[in-house]
Amino acid sequence: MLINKIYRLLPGMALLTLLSSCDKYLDEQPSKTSSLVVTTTAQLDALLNNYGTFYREGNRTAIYSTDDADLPVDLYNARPSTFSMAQVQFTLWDINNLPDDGRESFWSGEYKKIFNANMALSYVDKVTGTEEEKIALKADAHFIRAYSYWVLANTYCLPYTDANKQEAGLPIKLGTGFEEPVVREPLEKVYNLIEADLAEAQKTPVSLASGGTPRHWRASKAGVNGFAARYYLNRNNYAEALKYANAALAEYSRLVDYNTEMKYGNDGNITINAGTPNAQTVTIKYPYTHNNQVDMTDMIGWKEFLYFRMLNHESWWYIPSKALLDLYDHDHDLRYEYHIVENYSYDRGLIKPAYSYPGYVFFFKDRIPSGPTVAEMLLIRAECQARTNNISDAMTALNTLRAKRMKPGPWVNVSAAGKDAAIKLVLEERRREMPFTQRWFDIRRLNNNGDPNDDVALSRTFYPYNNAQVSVGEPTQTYMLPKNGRRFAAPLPRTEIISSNGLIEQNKY
Amino acid sequence: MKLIVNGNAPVGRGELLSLLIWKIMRLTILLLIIALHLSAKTYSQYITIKRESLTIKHVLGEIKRQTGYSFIADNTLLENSTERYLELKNVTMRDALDACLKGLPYTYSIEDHLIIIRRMPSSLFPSMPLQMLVASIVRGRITDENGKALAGVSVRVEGRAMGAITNDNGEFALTGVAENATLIIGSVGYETQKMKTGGKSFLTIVLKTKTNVLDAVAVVSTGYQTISKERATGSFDVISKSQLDKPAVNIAQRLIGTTAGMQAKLDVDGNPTFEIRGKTSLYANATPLVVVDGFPIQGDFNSINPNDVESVTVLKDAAAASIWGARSANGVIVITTKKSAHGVPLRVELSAFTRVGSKFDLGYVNPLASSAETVEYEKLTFNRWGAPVNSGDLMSDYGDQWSQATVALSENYLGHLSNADRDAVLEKLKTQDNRSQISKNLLANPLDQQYNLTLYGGSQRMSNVLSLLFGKRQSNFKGTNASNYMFNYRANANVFKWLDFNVNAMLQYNDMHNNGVTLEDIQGLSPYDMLKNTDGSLTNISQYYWPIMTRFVPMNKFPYPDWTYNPIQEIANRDITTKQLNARMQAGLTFRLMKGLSFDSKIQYELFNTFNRGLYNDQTFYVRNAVNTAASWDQSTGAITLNLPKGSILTQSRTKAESYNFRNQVNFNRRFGKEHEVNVIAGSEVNSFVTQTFGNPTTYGYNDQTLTLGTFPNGPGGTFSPIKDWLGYNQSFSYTNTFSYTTERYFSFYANGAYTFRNKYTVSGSYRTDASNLITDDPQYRYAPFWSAGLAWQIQKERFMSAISWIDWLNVRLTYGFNGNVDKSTAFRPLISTTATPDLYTQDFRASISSYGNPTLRWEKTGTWNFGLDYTLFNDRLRGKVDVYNKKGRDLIAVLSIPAVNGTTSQKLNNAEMSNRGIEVTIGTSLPIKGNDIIWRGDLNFAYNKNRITKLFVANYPAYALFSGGSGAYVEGKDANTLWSFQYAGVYDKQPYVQGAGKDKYNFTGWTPGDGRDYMLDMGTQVAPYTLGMVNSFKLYDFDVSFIITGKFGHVFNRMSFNYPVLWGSRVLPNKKLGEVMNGDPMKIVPLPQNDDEPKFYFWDRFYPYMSYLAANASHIRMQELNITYRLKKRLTSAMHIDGLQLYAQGNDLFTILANSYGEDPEYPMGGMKPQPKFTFGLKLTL
Repeated sequence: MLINKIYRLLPGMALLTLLSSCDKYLDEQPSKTSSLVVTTTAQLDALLNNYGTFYREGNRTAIYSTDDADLPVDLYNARPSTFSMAQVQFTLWDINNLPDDGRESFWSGEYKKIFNANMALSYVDKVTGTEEEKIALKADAHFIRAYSYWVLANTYCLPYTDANKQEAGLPIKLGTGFEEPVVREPLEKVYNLIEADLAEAQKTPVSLASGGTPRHWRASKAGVNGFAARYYLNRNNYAEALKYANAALAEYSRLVDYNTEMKYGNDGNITINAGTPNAQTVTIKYPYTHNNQVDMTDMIGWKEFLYFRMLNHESWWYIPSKALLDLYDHDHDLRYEYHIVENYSYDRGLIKPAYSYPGYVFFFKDRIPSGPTVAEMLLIRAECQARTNNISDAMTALNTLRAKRMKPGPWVNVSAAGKDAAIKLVLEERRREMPFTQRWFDIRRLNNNGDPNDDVALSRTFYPYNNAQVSVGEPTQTYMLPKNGRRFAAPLPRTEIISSNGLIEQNKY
Repeated sequence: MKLIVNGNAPVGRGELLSLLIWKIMRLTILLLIIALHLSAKTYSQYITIKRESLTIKHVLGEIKRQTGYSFIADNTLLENSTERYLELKNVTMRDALDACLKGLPYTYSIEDHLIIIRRMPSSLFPSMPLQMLVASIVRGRITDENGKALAGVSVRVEGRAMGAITNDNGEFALTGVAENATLIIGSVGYETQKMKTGGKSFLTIVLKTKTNVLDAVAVVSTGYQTISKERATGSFDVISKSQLDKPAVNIAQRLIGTTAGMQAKLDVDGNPTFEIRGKTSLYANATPLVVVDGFPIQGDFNSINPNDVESVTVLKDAAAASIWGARSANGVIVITTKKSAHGVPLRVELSAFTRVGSKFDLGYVNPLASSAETVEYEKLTFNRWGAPVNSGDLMSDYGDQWSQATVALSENYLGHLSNADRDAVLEKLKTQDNRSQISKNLLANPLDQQYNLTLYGGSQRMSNVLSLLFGKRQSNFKGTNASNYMFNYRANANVFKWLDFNVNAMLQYNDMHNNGVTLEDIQGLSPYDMLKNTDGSLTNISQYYWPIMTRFVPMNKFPYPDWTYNPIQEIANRDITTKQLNARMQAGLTFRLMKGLSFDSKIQYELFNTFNRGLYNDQTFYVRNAVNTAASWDQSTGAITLNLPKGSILTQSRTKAESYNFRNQVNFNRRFGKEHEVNVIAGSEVNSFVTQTFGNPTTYGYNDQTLTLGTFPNGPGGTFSPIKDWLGYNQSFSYTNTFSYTTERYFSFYANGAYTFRNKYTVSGSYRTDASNLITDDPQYRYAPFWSAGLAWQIQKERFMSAISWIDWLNVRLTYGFNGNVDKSTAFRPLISTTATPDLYTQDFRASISSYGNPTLRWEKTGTWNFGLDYTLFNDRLRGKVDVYNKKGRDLIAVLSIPAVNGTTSQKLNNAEMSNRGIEVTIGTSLPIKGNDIIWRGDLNFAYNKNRITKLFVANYPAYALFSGGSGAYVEGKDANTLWSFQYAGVYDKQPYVQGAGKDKYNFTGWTPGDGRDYMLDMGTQVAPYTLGMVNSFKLYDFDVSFIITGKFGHVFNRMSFNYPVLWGSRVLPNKKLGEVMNGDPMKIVPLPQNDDEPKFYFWDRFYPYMSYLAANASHIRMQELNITYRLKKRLTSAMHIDGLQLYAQGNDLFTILANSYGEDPEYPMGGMKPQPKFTFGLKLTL
């Protein structure tokens, strides 16, 4: 009888609540969607699927500090308030004021990616899921970590040479706990870790386009091989670099043909010199990739990615240097036609008096692909072949790319008489193809590859400045970053040194 | 229906447990019976006694126990040592009495529920006093001054052990009372009377209400138990009934100024937030726990009918509050609702009031510079100081929400407007002022109306209270108002002598309309932005840079040709509602198992449902803009394609919060001998709280009449079928539901015991362990123990005190113990959160890190010492108390900056400690100035609190962390509410500077370096260390006049600075401090930029609001309330056949005396909503 049952239940419940410890009752998770403990591979998969966590690189060193970028005095004078102090300081390889810049996000952003990777690695063996899924997750996480440590080392540490092996490297975090030491390990240890992680990443069973659509926001064999090619080229190990570039291209080699697939998007219309006799309305032509800031369709759909990473510019103006502009064939190079946007300075407010200067525009105003791409693989293949004196193959690789980037005609195919000429052609093509994103890393390796022909010394002419202001009235001076300058290691944010109580040390200059 | 149960009771010496189970089983049947036949007599009239030898006293006691009847008997009988050998089985009461009294010179009579036993008037007993022989029956009726019958009044015969209790009609009967006997009549709350019978057989007695004592409180409630105040060791404050009885929209309003050490701050709608004895937690919830009738409630004070509140007790120290364990560190507010007495006739209370306030003072809540000043300032700033230039391009600049003046300047700059036309526009704008239009069209007089009906009544065994409340509120903004309907029912039934059953039910419906604007909407308008044209038509307060729109966009070709915006139109064409349906149910059983031992089983269930709905018709800019900008527009062909259907937009969401709380508790209260008294409770409870939210996708093209809706004509967009918006950007529309589900669970054990020796010395102790479903690897952290210990000593009961006649009562208390605090936002391990829908572009589910882990996680704990002294002096003329405390919080969660290499730059960790020390003094008096006609009653409380963070490791404090305040500005050795300011150093080389470390000076163009503590100034605490509350009331014949004054002293606030606006994406709105800057000395106050080009001017807002010259004294005295009540005279009320009628007028927030000379109320800073004086008129009728 029901009532009888209730009789028994009531005192029973009373006793139960009095006596039992109810651990099970308390095991209910506080939320079904947030504050979750990771228990399945699906959750880790979701964590690594979140390209929003990983794809941006706010690397202002790459944006401002190379010879692809510039801040000419005339341009600055046209409207000083357009340019931030940080821009001036990065452009002039500042060491004193940059540590205090409040908008630092690259260092912390990369370590956030490393935390996510470490999260996946420390849980992957504890969660439920198939062995297959776990292998893919582990490789993916190791890849994320290798990639982030590499970009950090190539920004904040001196170039990795025999002489620099014991120079300050990076704090190495391999877990999610705060108790791990934060001191900067020697550069050699950092590189050992990168190579170890890369080796683990190469175990990935995933093919980039196995499902039809390339899932380039996750690690794949093509993506890992592409990064390995970049890594070994950067170590001046051309054989290895060539091997991995070939492996990547063997798996995936789709290129965007600028002749057929590139197009203009929405125009900008700006009235300049308004209210003066020179008033006129100027139309700015943008590539279609400029159209969307938030909508990711075009970016995810960019089919040259082997791995989805983009350089991110918070001030929205990649200012190409004169040297970079001069490298392009203005009439036939479609990269110049679409990515070098004439009169972009008007969009940035330089309209009265108008000062015309172009901008390099790829996705919206702020993003340029920086992850390994098919184009980069062709360039690595070409460079490795050129450096090993295989000039004809090098030119073939180069011309394969140029055919997709230039209007058809005799100017597409280039040829070189000798090794040095071939290398020069390849390096110039690299700059045209991947301005800003790879140049800083390239300069560092070129200055340390034992080939004196390709060394790059940097210098600029600009006004004196302090932490707050550019002294516009004063005479300009020359700023230099010599071949082996210690400023090739960018200064760390001062907050790191302070919040670690000095355990993390600043670079020595 | 009668049920004979005692006859079947299991006899024998069964264990307590089986007895308990048996009683519970019996109860279940009985509850059903009660439900059907509440009036059924459930006591047996049949008696079973099986004992060997019993004294008469024992036999009578047994009869009393089994029947529920009471005795009035002569002492001589009870002292009779005759022993009886009885064996009775299911005999009637008369048989039992006959057997008991057999052979003795006594007779008995049974009247109602009373057995009266008297000696036989027989000459066989010559020892009888003579007067007994002529004794007779005396009857009478007892009423109060209003003629209302008083039930339950005891009537005793002086010098004799006999007496009676009045029945429902106030009537009593005494048999065998000598002709010249004196009756003593007394009842709680009334003055005791003596009266000679004088041979009369019927007496009419009127009791006078006790008046010249303070609201004496006999017991305090912790929510788990009530403790006699004399034996309480903890620090309790009880809010007086007269204070609670005044009109209030919300009961919390009645607590302001009443309790030493409890700071209150009211928001503009009169909802207060409290802080008891300073800040106890750096990060966790800082509000006190609110307990209603024994259970913490999830709804706020608004879910309590203020007319239903009987008493409020504030628990302040560990001994008082630690029984609430992990949620008690902020103090506990215990609310007890009104109960009806048993056996009283129906009483009806009706009350109604209207409260009205004036409209906002726009000069205070929106302190802008004048129109002329604003125009001049806009001219001054235009294209200077780093302002962006409007390029005139549709794509980049159509969205600039610039003011009319700036648009005119910009159009002139772009060459579209001549200098003369520009100047004409500017001059016209200078003469416009929108304040009266805002006041008329957007603001309203805040109004509250409340009607309440309460019915009290009950039979001998059951009592009932039913209340109905209807409230209506108009906010300060037109179109934003609410109605509140509340139903409460409470009943208490004595099912058996050993079982009570009680039930509470609350049902509430709130209907809120939120169509009005917000203060931010008003603050976004330029002072010359008129809402209406001179002809009464609505203006266009464009949300775009209008000339670009007219130049480039064929606006009339779009689905809605009208692209204008006006707030009046928005208010009229939207229907944004929130409806809440809330219920709270409590049921409890109390079993009295044996003398002093009882068992409580209680359950509370709460269900709070909120429904949000927003309906915007296509007259609103919201709809027109959404549809227009979603349409694809081919700029070359001019073709426009609709991507969203035309028609109304509907948004809907709801939340559901459900909680239950189940508690079992054993109570033991017993006196052993004359000297020992023990008082113990122990129990366990489980608590679960589930919150769910549901969001519906936005419905487009909705028609509220036909309930038809539109679809996305070209789909919702996304990677695979992208659609373009009007400017050619890809867009997508959400079409999915959203859900969330959170669970909070607790499991607790607790015990509390007190032992009193000789009525003078009390020792108390409590223990509690709380476990929750916070995420942990190690269960030991779940069961955090909290304990307390206390001592109380009633000194005046000592012999040596008897000589001091002016001390009526003196009690000292000393307690120590721990309270806890909950912050469940962290866990040992890193946690993630996941998305509910696949990513639009990759079709993957995504997750992100929601917490980076707190390896130190544990409950926050606060240890409190409290020393207290309670006193009553000068024959009850003066009473009060003094409490001194020292609270030490440890394992407090703090946000610490850690190196970014850990994945985050800050993390919550349990590593801080904080102390609060203070003293609280209360003095009260009640002084009859002219008998019962003029009485002054005054209460004054004073509190001092000093807060200090005693341990906190933070490696470095950037200046911005200090001036931003909050958790980032907690500094070891400082008050947690410290105001940090820069010291302004003046202008050098055309740049303003602040004083830096040592001799350094820092300009405003970047973050200042190093540790802010080295150069920022500690201006003092922002929370008043000294607080004062004064409640005074005067009874003047039929009038009561009372007022409440509160004061806060010794703290500072940051007064409003000039806002140094610069042109960016929205309007330039200099505030009224403009003059201060324009006329100020640039060496003393930050001036406007000295250079034409000041690229980092936008950065100045990290400096100018935090200058030491802005710190001002925050001390103030507030006239919180003034109340005048008129009580209708008794003769009038009885002529009207009512019990009583009160009429009152009350003023709240009447005025404030400020210590600063800037006219800024520190609690309601300029530029925010500030309550205006409010006036209440109402009546209270009792039938």
